[in-house]
Amino acid sequence: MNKFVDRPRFSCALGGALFTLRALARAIPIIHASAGCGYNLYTTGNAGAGYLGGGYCGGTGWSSSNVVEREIVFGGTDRLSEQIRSTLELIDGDLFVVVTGCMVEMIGDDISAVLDEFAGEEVPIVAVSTPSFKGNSYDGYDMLLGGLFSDYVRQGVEKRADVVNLLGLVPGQDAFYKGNLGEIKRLLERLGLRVNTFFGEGETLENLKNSSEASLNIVLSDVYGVKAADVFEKTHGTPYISLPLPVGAAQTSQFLLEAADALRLSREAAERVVADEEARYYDYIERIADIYNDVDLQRYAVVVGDANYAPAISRFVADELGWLPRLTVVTDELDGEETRRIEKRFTGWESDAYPLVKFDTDTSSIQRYFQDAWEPSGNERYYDSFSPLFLIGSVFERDLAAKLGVPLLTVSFPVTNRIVLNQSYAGYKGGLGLASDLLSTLIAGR
Amino acid sequence: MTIDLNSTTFGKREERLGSVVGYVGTIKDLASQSRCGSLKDRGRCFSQSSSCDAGCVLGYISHIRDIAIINHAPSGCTAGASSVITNQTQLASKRGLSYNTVILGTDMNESDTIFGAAGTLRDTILETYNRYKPAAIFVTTSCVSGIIGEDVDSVIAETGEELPIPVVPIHCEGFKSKVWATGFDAADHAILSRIVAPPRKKGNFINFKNFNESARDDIVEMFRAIGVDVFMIYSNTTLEELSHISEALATISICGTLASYLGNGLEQQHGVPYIKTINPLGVAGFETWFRDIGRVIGKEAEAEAYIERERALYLPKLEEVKAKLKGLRVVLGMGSSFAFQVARVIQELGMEVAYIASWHYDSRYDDGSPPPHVQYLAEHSPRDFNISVADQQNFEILNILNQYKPDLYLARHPGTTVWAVKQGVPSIFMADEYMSFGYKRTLSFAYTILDRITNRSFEKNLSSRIKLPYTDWWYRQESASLYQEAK
Repeated sequence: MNKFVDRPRFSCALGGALFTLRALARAIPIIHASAGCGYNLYTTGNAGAGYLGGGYCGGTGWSSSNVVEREIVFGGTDRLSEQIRSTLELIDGDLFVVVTGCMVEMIGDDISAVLDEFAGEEVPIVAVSTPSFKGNSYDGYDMLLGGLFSDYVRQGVEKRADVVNLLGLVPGQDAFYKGNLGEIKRLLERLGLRVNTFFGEGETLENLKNSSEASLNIVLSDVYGVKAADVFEKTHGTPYISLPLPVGAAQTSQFLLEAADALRLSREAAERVVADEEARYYDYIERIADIYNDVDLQRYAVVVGDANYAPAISRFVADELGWLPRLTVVTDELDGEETRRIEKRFTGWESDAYPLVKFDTDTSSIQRYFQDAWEPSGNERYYDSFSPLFLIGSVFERDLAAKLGVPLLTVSFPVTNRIVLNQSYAGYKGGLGLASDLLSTLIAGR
Repeated sequence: MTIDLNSTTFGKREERLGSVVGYVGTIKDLASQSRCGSLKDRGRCFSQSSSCDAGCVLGYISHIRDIAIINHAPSGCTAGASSVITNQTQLASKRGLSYNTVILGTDMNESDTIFGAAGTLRDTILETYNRYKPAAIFVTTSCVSGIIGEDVDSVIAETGEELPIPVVPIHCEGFKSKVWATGFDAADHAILSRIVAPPRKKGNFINFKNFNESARDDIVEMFRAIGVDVFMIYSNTTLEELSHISEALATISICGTLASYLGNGLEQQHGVPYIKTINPLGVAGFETWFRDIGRVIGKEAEAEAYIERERALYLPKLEEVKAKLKGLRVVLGMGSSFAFQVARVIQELGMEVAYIASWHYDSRYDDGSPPPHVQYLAEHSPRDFNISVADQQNFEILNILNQYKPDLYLARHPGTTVWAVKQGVPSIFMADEYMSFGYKRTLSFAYTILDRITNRSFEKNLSSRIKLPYTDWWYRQESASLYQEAK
């Protein structure tokens, strides 16, 4: 049988596309689906992403054709055409994107024929097929960006050596996407680059539209954004490299040097940036050395998260905090090649303190792996217990944390117990933020 | 209309209750059209995300403890399940109860949309039983299972024979009804037809249909004062308890939209009287409702004595706070019952109802009678005022707020008041259905309003710094200008 959904850590392709559009300034989705799709996905995505909110026109503000039985029987293209026309009049936007739900895909609505009716419009209108049965919200990000890269981004633009695009952080699925993109952009700018993240502070649709001048796409993920980067390369000839999301000094320094090499930037200049950033970083880390040692803040760790966060955070706690991660569960639906890429991220650590790595989407399985990660008690005279332990995961791990009586920091989707604003876990600043959040949890009673 | 419990399906609200999602007029016109049965629905050429039957069902039936719900749908339709479960777990823990209900999805994929997924559904039902041992399994349908014509009923009938627990279908395809509140009826239909048993003996209790039972302690005490017990539905109930609701003295509710199907169904099938008065929000609502309960169960004197005591306790304070609220103008956007019931409370508190936007509107309830709260408001309002049935459409609400510029906007669904706030209008999201229930909560509601309008900084600052998505053109139109002619 199919693996059935039990406490899902993502929604559907439509949900991924909608939250990606929510993050894109003045891009207006037009949902062609039943009335409930948009609102239900908003409710889940809003809370799961640390209360991202509906933004400019999201949630109950999303334009939606709200097809009913009549359209299911007779087709929904007339309704869609009417909805696009009225949306153009009512909603002030610079790009309109038709995204589709399962039901209109199944009845075979010809969306491109509808778009032909609007060929003369001044404002661009594109359509991207995003039915739930074709993928989850991570896939929806790739589908949506793939569609925009081929149908919206300017063609035939001259490349500029100092321009790069950042991909791989999925808005909404990564509750910290905006802070993370901001930090990585800041660092790449220190290398002398101009950076389009599409969703970052102050960016507009112009960043997306002109992104074809980039000489390299940097995918901050082994999984997400890779398909979109493929489309980009085929359409605009820009190659990509896939580097893992860097969290903390060690990973970020490695990231910056690899990025500099890939772009053939001066190694020496990059090393100067790294040295400066590390000095600032350790000025702060030095602060916590006192409390860390006075009350012994070393912990075992179990990390549960998506393909971006699970390896990065495991390595951070091992290589930088000196903790002992014993189990890491990657919660995505991955194919064999993607799994191998993630496994490779558990090599080359300075600490050599590797956890057992499992791939499982099922929340209820996590505790089962404990016995593989730690020898269970066999009534020995002395039993070295799996304690003190810290759990880093999503809000789904709350029951487990409560049962074990251990602290939990939520980082991976869903993050419903935190308000996330401009915090970041990526880069140097993100590493400091993560250290602060983890250790604050431990001393909250003081 | 008679409720038919022999079928697994039932009529949607448009058909059963003459429900509409598009109307513009006045309270007096709506009341008169409801009496004559002449109300016609109007579509709109622009629409925005709202809700669906399936979402309504998952959120509502999951209030029952220790059952399993299998959503026969692609993954996205089940994505909200975790937050629903978290909510229900918290409601249970407030009462010190354990809550073990699970919501699972069959995760229909592309090949399922072509070849069907009856096998997956069957396996999921059996695996769910083995893994969780629930008291019953409810299988909810989706747009996708509906379009491929999946024979869910047959799979359920087969597995139901193999398992020692009820396996019950709930038909709630998202595209089926324009009125998502049809989902309440879908849940009630499943409970009435498959869980409720014929009465074994008469009990000394009243069924009270509600959402989150936040006022439970006060309600228990109130009914104890007149010598009966109360059974709150469905929050924190078990299937065994629900099988006995046919033995109740009467069925009452906090919301006419919510209870029509179950209340009238129990009355028609098992002779349990359903109290059909206006609902117990505000003073007039509470007293009308409580007196009728007293009359139906033969406790008139006790009910009267309770009313006397409570009046003495709260009415003087209520008069005091009314003076501070006098003249405030209020716009309301809520469901078919609450919109008009809360409006009545607003008038009682000395404020002016500037406009009502009802999400949908049921022209009649399952006993054939027009909703009493609309008749009441039409008769008692100081003047006729404008209303619309606005289907939770945000663009209409913001247009209305821009036109009427009220002191306060009240709404009852998450993600709706935020838009009023973004437009600079102080708002209260009335999530708790007991906000303004009875004397005490009507008083606290008045204080909440006072608090809300005392500091308007948040919406003032926010609205002056952000841009809303609607064009100037739209704000120059009438809010109902995109309605199509009634068919």
